[in-house]
Amino acid sequence: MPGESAPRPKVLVVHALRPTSRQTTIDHLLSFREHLPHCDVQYLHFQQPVPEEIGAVAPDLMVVNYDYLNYRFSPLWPFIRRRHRDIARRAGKVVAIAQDDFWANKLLDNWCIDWDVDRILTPIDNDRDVLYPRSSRNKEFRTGLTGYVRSGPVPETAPLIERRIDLGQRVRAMPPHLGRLAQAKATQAVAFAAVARDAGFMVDVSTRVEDSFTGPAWFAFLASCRFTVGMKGGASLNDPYGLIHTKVQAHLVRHPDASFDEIEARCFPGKDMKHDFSAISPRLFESALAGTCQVLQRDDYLGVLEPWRDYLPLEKDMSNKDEVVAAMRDLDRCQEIVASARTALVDSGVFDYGRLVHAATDGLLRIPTTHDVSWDSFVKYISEASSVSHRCGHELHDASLHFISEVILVMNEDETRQLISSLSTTSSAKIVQSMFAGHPAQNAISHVISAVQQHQQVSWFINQVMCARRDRLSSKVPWTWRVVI
Amino acid sequence: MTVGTSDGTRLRVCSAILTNNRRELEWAAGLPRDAVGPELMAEVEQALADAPVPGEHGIVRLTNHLPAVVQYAGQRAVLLFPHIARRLLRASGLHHRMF
Repeated sequence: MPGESAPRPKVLVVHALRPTSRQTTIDHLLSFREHLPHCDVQYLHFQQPVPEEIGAVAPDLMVVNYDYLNYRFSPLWPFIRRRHRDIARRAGKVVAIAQDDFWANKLLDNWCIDWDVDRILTPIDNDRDVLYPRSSRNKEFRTGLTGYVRSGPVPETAPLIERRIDLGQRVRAMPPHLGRLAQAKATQAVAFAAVARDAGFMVDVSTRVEDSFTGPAWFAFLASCRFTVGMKGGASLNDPYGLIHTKVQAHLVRHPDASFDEIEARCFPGKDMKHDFSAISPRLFESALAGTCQVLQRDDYLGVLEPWRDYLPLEKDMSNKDEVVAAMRDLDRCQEIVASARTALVDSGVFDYGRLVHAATDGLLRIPTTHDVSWDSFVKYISEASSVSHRCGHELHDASLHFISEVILVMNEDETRQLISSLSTTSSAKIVQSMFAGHPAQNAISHVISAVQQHQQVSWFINQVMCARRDRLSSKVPWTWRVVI
Repeated sequence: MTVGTSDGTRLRVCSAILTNNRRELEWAAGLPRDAVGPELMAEVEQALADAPVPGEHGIVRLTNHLPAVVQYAGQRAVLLFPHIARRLLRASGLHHRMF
């Protein structure tokens, strides 16, 4: 048609964003829209109800994000994996972005076959035939890191000499079911912290959950430290179906103080340390951005970091700890190391999110020859469903969905009809008085209804109620979903 | 029209009450009373008194003494009965902890 723009490749990103999702997950998802400006990129939360007639779309490329795939650990996985399988089968190509592949990997491998995935991005380069026994025969594998550098200006940070903490780090003590290698990160941090403390440095290293930082506070902390200590993350134990995890959890409930050796002997004797599922940690980039000098276990870091040039190398057995401590006293030299690491990891632009998008989509995008009307309806539906988050913020979206899942979905059909018919015409106080009097959350309900009415989102709300009632997964999943905005 | 900060806070408090989420309720209980309003705050306090501590439910504790294979199969089998699973998850507070 004259004047009509040429059709763009249709890209559908399936995700599982939650109110508690980390900023890195949000950055990761947004990178597809940012780095594919020539494509029509749409985001679909796996839990978001989509009417059957609207959901019959055929994207040119379907990208399945790791937060969705992490639901393979959930008992609900058999229901979840069936949900968008038809879209995947209609899609031109399907790409899976995996993380933590060493856990419940057989479920992931079977899913890749079931959904006919074309390309798998994984942060683990070793033992892919162990992790993906079926997919490794005929699927394409590429490396996808667990984090990248956000585009935009590099934040200004203080030089090392002006910082108040000498050595800082937060490491989570990893659960035993990931094996001995997963424990090493916390063990190394604690051991080196003791060395630094003995050498007279001011140290702030902790493995306690309550000491961890969230959001911007983490970066601010890192940028207030002269040095940080780290190594590659990962696991050494293969748990194909997540059964070892269940065994360990059950053992820990009965023996909460059990040591790693005891748990190993009881739950996975002889199975640990047969594999090395290690991967680059996003901390590498965060530290480079924060201008913090890294003390890292001597290893290969993406083939770009050189020991003594880009980081202070600590041997695995810490046999050179005195040499590292001596180097930490020379702040001028360490400032040069910081600059060099920043050049290699940040200024080079090699590790920004564009690289992830390129790894995921390179060679898989085709330009459609015709306009797809069903895609237009799908885009319109998705855009309307996410409108409340766009216009009014996530809080109204979340509270409305919680009201629907916790209260409305357990009401009968007549009660639901009565509520829907009164929403546009009756005040929240009257609705609550007639329908929810005596409910333990009646004030919360009144407040949510009032906010929906005040922000003129009644039709959106009614649509969500109708979709949730028709949706088979809505009655099963106990969480709420979020849109990408 | 974007929800204002104070309205957004109150809506998050509503979510905490509706979902009976102990961690969120504890956060709400620490807010200034004026920011939440006396009626919502009363519901927060009531909900907090009843909110489950994740994993402390009697049935969940009982299942911890079963062999791991039985637990693994049981967790999956119970989802064939969504209404029972829904009740159990909410009563135990595990639905906030699954992820």
